Amino acid sequence: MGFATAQIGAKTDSGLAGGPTAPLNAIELAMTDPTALGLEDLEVDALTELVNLGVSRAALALRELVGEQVFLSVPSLSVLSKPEAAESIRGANGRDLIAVRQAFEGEFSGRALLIFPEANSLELVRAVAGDHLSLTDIAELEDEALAEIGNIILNSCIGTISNLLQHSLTMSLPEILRGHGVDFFDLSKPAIEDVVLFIRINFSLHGREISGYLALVMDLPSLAALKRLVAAFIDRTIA
Amino acid sequence: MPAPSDLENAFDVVDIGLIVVDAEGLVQAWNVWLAQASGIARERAVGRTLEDIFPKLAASRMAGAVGQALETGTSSILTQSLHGSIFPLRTRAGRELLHNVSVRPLPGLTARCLVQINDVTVAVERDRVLRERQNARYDAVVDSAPDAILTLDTKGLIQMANPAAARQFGYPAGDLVGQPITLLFQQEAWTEAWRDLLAGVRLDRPVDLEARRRDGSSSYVEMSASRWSSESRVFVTAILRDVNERRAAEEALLKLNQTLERRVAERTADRDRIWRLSTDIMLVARLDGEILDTNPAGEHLLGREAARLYNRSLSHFVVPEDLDTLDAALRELALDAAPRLFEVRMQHGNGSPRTVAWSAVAVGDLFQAVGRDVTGEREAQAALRQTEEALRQSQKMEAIGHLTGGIAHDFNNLLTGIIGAIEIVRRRLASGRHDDIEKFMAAAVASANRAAALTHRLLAFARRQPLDPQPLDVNGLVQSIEDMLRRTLGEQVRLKTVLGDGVWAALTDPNQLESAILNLAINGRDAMPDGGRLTIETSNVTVSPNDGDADDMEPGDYTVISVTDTGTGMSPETAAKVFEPFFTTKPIGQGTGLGLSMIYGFAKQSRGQVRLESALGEGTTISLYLPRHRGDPWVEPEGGARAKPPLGSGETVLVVEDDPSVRLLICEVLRDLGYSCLEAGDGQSALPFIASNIRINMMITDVGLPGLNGRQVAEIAREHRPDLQVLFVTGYAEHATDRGRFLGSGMQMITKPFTLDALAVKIREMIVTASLAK
Repeated sequence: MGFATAQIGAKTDSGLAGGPTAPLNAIELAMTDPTALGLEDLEVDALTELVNLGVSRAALALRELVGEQVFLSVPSLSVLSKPEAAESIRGANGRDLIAVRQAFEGEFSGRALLIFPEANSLELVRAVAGDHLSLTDIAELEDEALAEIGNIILNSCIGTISNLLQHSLTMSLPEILRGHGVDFFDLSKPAIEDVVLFIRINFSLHGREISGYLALVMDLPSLAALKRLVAAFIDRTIA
Repeated sequence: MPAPSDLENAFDVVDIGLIVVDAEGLVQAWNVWLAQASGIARERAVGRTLEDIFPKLAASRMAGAVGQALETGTSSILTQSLHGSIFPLRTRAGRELLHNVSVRPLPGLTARCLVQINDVTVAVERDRVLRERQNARYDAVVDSAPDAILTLDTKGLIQMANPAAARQFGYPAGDLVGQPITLLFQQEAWTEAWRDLLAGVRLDRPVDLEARRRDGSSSYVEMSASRWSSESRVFVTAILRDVNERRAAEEALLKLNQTLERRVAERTADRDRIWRLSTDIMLVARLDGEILDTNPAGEHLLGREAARLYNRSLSHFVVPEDLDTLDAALRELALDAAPRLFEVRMQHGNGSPRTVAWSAVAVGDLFQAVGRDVTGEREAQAALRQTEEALRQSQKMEAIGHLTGGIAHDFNNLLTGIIGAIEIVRRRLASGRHDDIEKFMAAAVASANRAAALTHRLLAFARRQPLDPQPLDVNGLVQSIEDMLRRTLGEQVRLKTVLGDGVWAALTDPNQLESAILNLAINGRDAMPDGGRLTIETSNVTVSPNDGDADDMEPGDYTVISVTDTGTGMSPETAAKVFEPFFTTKPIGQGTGLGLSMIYGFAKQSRGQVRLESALGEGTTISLYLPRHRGDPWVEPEGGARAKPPLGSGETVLVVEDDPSVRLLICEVLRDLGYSCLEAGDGQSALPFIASNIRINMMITDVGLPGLNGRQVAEIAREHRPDLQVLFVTGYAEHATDRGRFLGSGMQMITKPFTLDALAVKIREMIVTASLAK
């Protein structure tokens, strides 16, 4: 799947430009029941904006940690089924992914995942922890450091979204998962109707370009709640 | 449900730090563990903000995390790996307490959050020790390795690069980490190796790669690499050996080889050109003569195309007369690797023979030969030889002209004297006047004797005079001619004789020696027109085989007679020519130029030598070397035959002589002396006398006779009459110059012209000897 391959291998904005915006419609068409799941265009835009704000906060938090400018960008947002989400991050060999997962609970509940190809995660840790560390040092503290980095990003995104939607959530502490999409999205469970709010994130720090994914896994009622909150947010904003 | 006091106990008993922060951000609870680790009692902490208690926290993520938990209900972790010490905590032992912090909202009506502090000191320390130990080993190997070592993740990003790698590729230390390996390697060879490595294929042998340095230049490395994994993560570690030097050496070698090939090609081309352009024939053939290859010159010389020469024997092209030479040369070539030279005539395609000088050398069962067409040279040599021969002939004719001219002149003078005198005698006899006949007869005889001496000299020059070598007392000879010499030399020249004591007897012809000494003395005198001293010296000289002065003299003892004058001497150029016939320094008419050449001829004929020492103004010494006689010196018989011719007593003598006047003369003399005489005009007509029963005491025969020669007649006569005495008479004796070999026993020789007295003595001597022997 060209889309996923391009994401994992790509390191420049130009390399990403071709794919990200177009697939949204394509993926919507691929959905089992678009009307049931459907977020309206305006709602998608609003949600993307919310995520961008969250990511910007995360960038600020990371900057405090790293001590230099960190850029995070969200080129695309889409709503997928869990198998589609799993498929889209399967990558070249379907393995070697690492994810930071936190559960959130409130009017809409689910799990938030920050997913990197394992190789990228190492780069991310090196970028945050510093170049002076040896490969073995980085490998040692990879999980710990990645958990905190993921925690910062997830907290910022989810926290910002819930804050702007004027609805409180509680979020658990982060955990590290290794594996591939199937493992991350609990495909073995029959919750076939769960959807994934699938957001690609590009990091740029220390001159390195790192691609990852932010995935919010929710059941349909949670998605409906989210849709309602976003609509209210839109109403407030327009008003 | 436990009582609150129990919960508070539990809160204080746990081995982690716990803080409860209320919605205002003020510390609500502070457990015992934390009070101990921070050194801050609960009483001092409760009611204050964390930033108030720990001012450093203001700059950390801690404040934000607490704020987030309170405001948005998010949970946060703060790890020591990213933050180091978040709180200033100490272990009981007083050491820094390493910890991770988590912040989470507490469920309930009012917003509160729980800050939880986990002591990870032991685990981190343990990890650090293990890591350092591992790193120490690892660093020792990797950091000090002279080879570049890179560890790559599966994305091809460099995760580790040792100092050698940075050096080798020209990057500052650390800059390579995080970079894609394609920064260094772009070739297909790398792509293939990388694919294999990721697929888990082992590299059987190092892979040669060309790396791009930071400055864009190429660096050649030899890569060994293998895949390994750690906690499900796969890495590839590559060791890159710098092979630039080896590569440079290989390239230099390659270049050398290429230039060598070029040089070889050039030299081969040079040799090809020589092969093609040479006018000499170059030939490769088997030792049996079969031609394998030849150059264009060979084709040209033999007038045949190469194709018609190959696989045919060289002998096929050699003229039949020279096949033996060729065969011998091929046999010799087969013996060893020494080069051989031979010359054979080859048959050109058009039939003309070409003379070719070959230089050949055998190599294995082949030989290589270079041949030069020397036909022209040989023809030129032959032409030169002919020309030289013609020149010699013409010189000879010129010389004969000189000689005969001189001789005719001298003879005419002498004959004038003889004929004139005899004419006068005849007239006087006819007129009966007998009174002064004797005077004219003496004049005629004197002239005739001079003529005889002249022919002797000619014969001596021609080395055709029959010598009569005898043991001779040289001193005696010199003494006997001393008076005559003094008269000849005149008053202006003083003669001195230095005769050595015990001078050996020489084996030589006394008359010739006498003549030679006289000749030398006259030459000496002529060289001293203003007078001087002439010294005649005798001595003994032994020539040893190693004697550098030996010239062509045989080693042995010699009796030497030296004649020295104090005259003008001669230049080396003159000295080199004096022994040549007809060479003379005297005005025309004064000398024949035969003197020294005659002496030379005489000395050589006597198995001796003549030496000349002279310098301009220093006089001249000429030394005659005559072989020593081993035995008693010969002493001339007392009285001799000088007194009166001995008379015969009726013995019969057979005279064989083709010249009637000489025969007449001899017979007349014999009858006068009292012998009876039988005459024969040639050998054939003498045979009846020989075969008859007529008493013959002696035979006198000319050597040179028409038909049977004198020697043959003598042999026939000896068959019939073994004791017959034979006297040979000869003008010159081509075969009789060495008397010893020509004459058998009972044979003697007398040379024309002879005096009647000498003939009488010789006959008497032989007859007496023969009768005494009986």
